[in-house]
Amino acid sequence: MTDIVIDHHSERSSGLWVETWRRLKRDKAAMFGLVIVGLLVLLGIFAPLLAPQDPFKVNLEIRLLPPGIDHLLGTDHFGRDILSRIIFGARISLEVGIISSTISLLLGMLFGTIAGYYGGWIDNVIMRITDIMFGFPVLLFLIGIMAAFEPNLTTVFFAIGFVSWPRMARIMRGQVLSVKENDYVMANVALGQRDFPLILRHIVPNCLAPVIVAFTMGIASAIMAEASLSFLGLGAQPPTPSWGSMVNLGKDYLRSAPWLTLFPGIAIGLTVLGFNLFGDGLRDALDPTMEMPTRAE
Amino acid sequence: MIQFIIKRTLLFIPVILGVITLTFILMFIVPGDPVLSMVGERYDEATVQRLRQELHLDDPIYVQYGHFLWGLMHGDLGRSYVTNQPVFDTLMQKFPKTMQLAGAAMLVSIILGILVGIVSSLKPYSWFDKGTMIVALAGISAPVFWVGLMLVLIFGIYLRWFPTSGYGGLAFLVLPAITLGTRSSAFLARVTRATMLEIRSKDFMRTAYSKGLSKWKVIMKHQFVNTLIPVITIIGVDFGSYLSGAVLTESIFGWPGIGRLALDSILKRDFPMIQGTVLLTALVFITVNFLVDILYGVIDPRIKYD
Repeated sequence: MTDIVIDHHSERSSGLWVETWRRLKRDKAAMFGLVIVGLLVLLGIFAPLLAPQDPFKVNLEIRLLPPGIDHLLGTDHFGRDILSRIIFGARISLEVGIISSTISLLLGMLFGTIAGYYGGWIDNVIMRITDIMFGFPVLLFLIGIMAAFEPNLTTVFFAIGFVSWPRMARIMRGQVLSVKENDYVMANVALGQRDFPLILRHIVPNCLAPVIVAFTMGIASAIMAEASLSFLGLGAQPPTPSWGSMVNLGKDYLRSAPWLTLFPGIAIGLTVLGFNLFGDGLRDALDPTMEMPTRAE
Repeated sequence: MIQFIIKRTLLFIPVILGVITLTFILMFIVPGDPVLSMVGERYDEATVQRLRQELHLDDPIYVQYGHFLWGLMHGDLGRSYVTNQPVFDTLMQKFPKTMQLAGAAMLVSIILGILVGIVSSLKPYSWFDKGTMIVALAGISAPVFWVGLMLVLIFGIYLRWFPTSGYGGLAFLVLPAITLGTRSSAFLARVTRATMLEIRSKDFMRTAYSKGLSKWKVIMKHQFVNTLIPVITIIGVDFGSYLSGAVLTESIFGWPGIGRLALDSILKRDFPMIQGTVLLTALVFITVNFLVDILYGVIDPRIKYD
């Protein structure tokens, strides 16, 4: 009996993903987003091969050079090549996006599943905690957390992950609530299957669609949050080539060398745009009627 | 209606208490001795002892929490480690300036966002619609601080239309307000357009046209009015992003509000002030959301809270 149910589930899920990809391919905006995301991943992985110069190499003789043949995007106030720093910065954005969103995904799925599956007082407690956490404006919440710890990238990863799990938990809870009413779940309960394998095998896999969309959007939010913190000087510390801190250092030269600010900002915007477009497309392709957050915070 | 408001209020109170408690815990776990950062390098034992007692630092956590709540009820959030001014007074002095900025940004976003959204929806997939929606997408994805710096570069440095930073007359407000309002006008434009298009195909729209009403009357009285719920939701939800964005905007334009205060305080490790700014913004945010929820009930009597 159990085997039959698993077969049924795996068949349905491969059908869902094939169908989703077929619909996604027709969505030009989503494909554009996917190209940006793919480019970012390639830049991040192959940064040392792709960067024309050493992103940390200081050479004061060539400081603040405008964009040109030798330095396509110019140099900064230490004579470092901006293009190379942006390429290495992709690595940081990718890391913060994936690590923070994974933390928020795991915490959110854990608490969301517990709340949705068990209900009752524990559901009440978890949902009130998410209410409270939603009460803080994101950046101020992050500033409060960063106040208590050393400002560096590792702290940023965890702080962003911690601040963003309630959204994931609410989505997961809503999914679990509807999935657990299905006959196949009831059948397993009646057969005496224990909670843990039941949740893992039959409930969680059927809740994933909106969670994956939220995860994609969450990456955009996390990248934006890290950029904002680093811009304020509370995230990545020099000489780390984080895009946000590049804009922060560049703003003092806005008048004389605007390219210091211009290019890293475009990199942030394009990346966030890529994840948002792809996430939007994914949402529409998975389920056109699904209600989901439509942007990064 | 009354019942709805009472129910919503009962849910509002535990959230407020939770926000207060979480802010307290956050500052309780801050490492380092606050007294040592207050007295500085040269200190004598007696002063340290006196300050520790004044701040109740030797009491158990629940007693400290009690003192914190008691102080809060009397508008006492402690004193700044840096200026020794009462935190509450400083907050009250800075807060109106942030509200002024947020209000102006909201005005920009409502006017621009709704206008663009409506016009786009009248002729969907026209060049105007496509163009503005691409701009809106860029507006949503661009970082607030970068938009601010680019506005400074173009309108402050190159064109010299507006001052690049500072606080004063209306001219000083223009660039910060646009900076802070960009994201939400872009979002509002998209949502307004989508809702207008959705409503366009509803039966009551056809009825309104067949009654012989003029096109503009139908659009304003039937189509637009029905977009108000999602639009108000966005404005409410966006209030949090205004407060977050205020930190970035105020730091770029040297605007003397709460956001800049929060940033200055964290750089100087002025913990009571950080606590005050985080608590105040959170309380304002949840109050706005509470009011927005109540407003739904007033605008749309079909909404019931269970």
